[in-house]
Amino acid sequence: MYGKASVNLRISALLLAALLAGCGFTDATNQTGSTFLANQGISISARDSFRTTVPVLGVQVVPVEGIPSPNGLEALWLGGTLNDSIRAVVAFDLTNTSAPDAGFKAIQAVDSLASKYKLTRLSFGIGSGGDTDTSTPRQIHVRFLLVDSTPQTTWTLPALFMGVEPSALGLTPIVDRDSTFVPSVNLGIPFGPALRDSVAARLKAAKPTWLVAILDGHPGWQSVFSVGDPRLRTDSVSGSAEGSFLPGEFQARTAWRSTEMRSAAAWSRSMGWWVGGGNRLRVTLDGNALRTLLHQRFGKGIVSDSFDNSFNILQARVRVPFSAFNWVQGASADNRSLGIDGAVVLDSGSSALPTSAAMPISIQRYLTLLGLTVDPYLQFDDSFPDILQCRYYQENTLADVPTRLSLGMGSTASYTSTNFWLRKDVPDSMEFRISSQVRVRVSHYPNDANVHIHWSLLQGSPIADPQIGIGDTARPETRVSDTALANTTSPVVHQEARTSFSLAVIQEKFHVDLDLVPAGGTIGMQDLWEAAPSATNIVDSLGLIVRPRDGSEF
Amino acid sequence: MRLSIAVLSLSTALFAQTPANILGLGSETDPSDGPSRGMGEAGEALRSDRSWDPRLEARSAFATQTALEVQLDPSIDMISDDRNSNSVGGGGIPRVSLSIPMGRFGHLGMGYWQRFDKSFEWTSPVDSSVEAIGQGGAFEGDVSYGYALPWLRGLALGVTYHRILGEDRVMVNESWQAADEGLATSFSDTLQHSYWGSYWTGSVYFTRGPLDLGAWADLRGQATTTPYDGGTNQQFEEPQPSTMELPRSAGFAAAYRFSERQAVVADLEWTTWQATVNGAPDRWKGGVGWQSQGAGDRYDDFWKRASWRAGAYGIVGGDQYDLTEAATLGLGFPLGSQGAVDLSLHLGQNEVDNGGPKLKDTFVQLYVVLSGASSWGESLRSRK
Repeated sequence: MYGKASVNLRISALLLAALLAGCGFTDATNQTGSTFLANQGISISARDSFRTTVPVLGVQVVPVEGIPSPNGLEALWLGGTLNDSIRAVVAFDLTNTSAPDAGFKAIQAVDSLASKYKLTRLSFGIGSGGDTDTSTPRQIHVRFLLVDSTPQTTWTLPALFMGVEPSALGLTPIVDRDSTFVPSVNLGIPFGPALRDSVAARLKAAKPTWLVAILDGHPGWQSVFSVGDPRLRTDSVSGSAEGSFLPGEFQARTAWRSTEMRSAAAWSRSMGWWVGGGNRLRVTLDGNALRTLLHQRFGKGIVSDSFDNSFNILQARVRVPFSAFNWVQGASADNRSLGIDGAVVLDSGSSALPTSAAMPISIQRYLTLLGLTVDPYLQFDDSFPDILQCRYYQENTLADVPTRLSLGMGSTASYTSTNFWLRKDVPDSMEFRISSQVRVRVSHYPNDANVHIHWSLLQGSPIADPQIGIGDTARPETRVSDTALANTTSPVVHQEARTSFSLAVIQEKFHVDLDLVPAGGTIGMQDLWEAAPSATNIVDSLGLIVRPRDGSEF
Repeated sequence: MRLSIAVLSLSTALFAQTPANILGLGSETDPSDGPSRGMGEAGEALRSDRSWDPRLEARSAFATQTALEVQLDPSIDMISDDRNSNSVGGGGIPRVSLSIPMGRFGHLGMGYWQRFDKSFEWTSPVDSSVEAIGQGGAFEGDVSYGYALPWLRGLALGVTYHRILGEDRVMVNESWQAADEGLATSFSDTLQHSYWGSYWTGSVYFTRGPLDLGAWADLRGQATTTPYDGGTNQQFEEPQPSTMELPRSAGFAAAYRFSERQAVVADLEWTTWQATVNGAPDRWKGGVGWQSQGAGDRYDDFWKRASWRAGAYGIVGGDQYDLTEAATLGLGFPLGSQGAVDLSLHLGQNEVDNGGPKLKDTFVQLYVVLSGASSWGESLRSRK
């Protein structure tokens, strides 16, 4: 009796005590003690909503982020849109014995056969993405150049890849005419006798030569083709394909590149996404003016030397109106996405240096912050005609820097190494990031002996707020759209940017750059678009919902 | 079964408590042992063969059994202010200790003492999407040594080293979701304090016949406090650590066994807070209690082996600006051959009396204390 009965009783008592205790008697929420907590510094002020203009310190049009790819890295595009021509440049090294395929080599080995099987045309395969209409003939402008393959003239290739006109390089096309183009391996662009004979003579003489094809799509196309597998084709007398000659290699990559040739009427103040480039809009927010506005409305709250922690900005909806919107007709969607991200700029610097400068970015003192142990290396080479070649090397690429065109895009490899080109005959610039926190913009202007460097150290990677609406899809008004807003050609974008505006209000010593970034490329490069903002400050108004942070401790 | 008991017991811990805990370092927990909880927390001086108190280490110099003690204190607070009232569940683990007698080498004690508790929950009556939450509190890791003076029968001295550490934080959380948004955004403002410091306590204990007397006093100690501000989309200055004087206590406790199993106890403790929290008054805590000790024969009826206890205590002042009165009831019964369970029910009320808005909470607090003891550490010869 003593043992068993007492054990059961003890267990029962324990269980009862445990079950009776705790939250079993707890009311749902405790709202008691409001005045007491307010007296200790915890009180909740009512939130307030209002609309205001956006004070800015400056507005810039900057290129989309990333290093423009050199030849051979991106797909080859041909077409026309946004009143621009999309140019494809393909270079064939006529002395490169590895370039011809087996069939062509067999023909070349027998001189009689070489006269029987002639080079007839430039033909293409069909790449992935782009327009799927491969039956409609398209008007293009064709130019073929023969460039002696000496070191000096070979160096003209980068300029041609970047869209510099041959005449500016002292080159005269052998063929310069309009043609029709049907993307097809079997059809292609006929050479004509003059070009055919010139190429045959060069081949026979084994004279080092590049054959460069420059193909400009008509701006009125309003579509883009991805053309893959370009080749010079030989046909037998009967017309059947017998062999082909493949593109050469330049700087260890396939010698082709596409670029969008901007029309003279192209908007300079725009955001957009196009072949080989694009524009962003950068708005430098005036934090002091924003703070003054909020202080006038709510009073001055919790302020220290560096930060103003007076407010929680629950919502900051920016309104961005556009006066015009242009996009590739026939593409899969009638709207285009853009992102709005913000970053605190901790430090920045600008310099104009000779075009032979090496590592003109003074970020050495931030190496540890950036997770780098070796100085990034940036050097310019001015020995190429009409372009400036830049080489960039960075070790310890720890951060995943999201850029569009960078060779090191998304790279976590031990190093990033790439080269890129800037045109010298027109204003040209590019911007990329070092280790996610340093923005570097390199610019060059015609007739300027200097290259201009502007770098800025960011507090962190730019932050964009989610734009998810009901149903877990992006809210329609966050996109630039031609139909969602009653078929207007003056779309208005509304996006949430609470994080960026919070940073602008909080930071008393540094300013915040707000970037409007185009998105594209969901179907290859077909999602090309451009929109011109109508407001002077880009963001013409801001809808805020603010709750003052109460107490001295929060 | 034992596992299920442990899980159920632990599940009662760590719920929210009264908003008054935001004051100062939070509500202060008494470090009493399990039996003392039922005696108005006034039984520090009552001689025991297994108990340990971080303040009165000298008493443990007479302990004969190695003992592990774990305390849980689920509670219910009925909070009221001048507008409304509510009840909240609360609780924690106020103490875990190990007491090791070492024969002629004295006594070694060590323990965890959740000395301060800053936990509470509160929801804004004007906007239910906003709540304030307090969590954590500074606690102590204690190591003590006691020694019974061989040349003065019944007299022992003790010393305790207290390491102050831990963190507390108060958060104001808001969940914001616009009508056209699919996701809510959480805004959380946080003020967190971390603590790191130490102090010493000296104690003296005397037992002879039916009378036990003990006294203790803290030496001056300091702690480094580092405040960390945090907030969604907020940035703050670098934390600046500061040094604070720790509150110092001195106390006296007495116990008198007026029959073989009956004893009465009393204590009085004074703590100065002025150097710690600016303007805080001194804190006084006093208690009285009674115990009827259960029979020691393991073959006796269960209820005869149970110990019954009762008491009361009061607190006034301190960084909590307390005015506390409480009554206690205790029941202790054996658990196996060497273990014990001590249940102590505290009923009382706290009032904040700092000249500001009133806040009163009536509490029902159940201390569940599990302890196990053995003769580990002593040779068979010394046990005889």
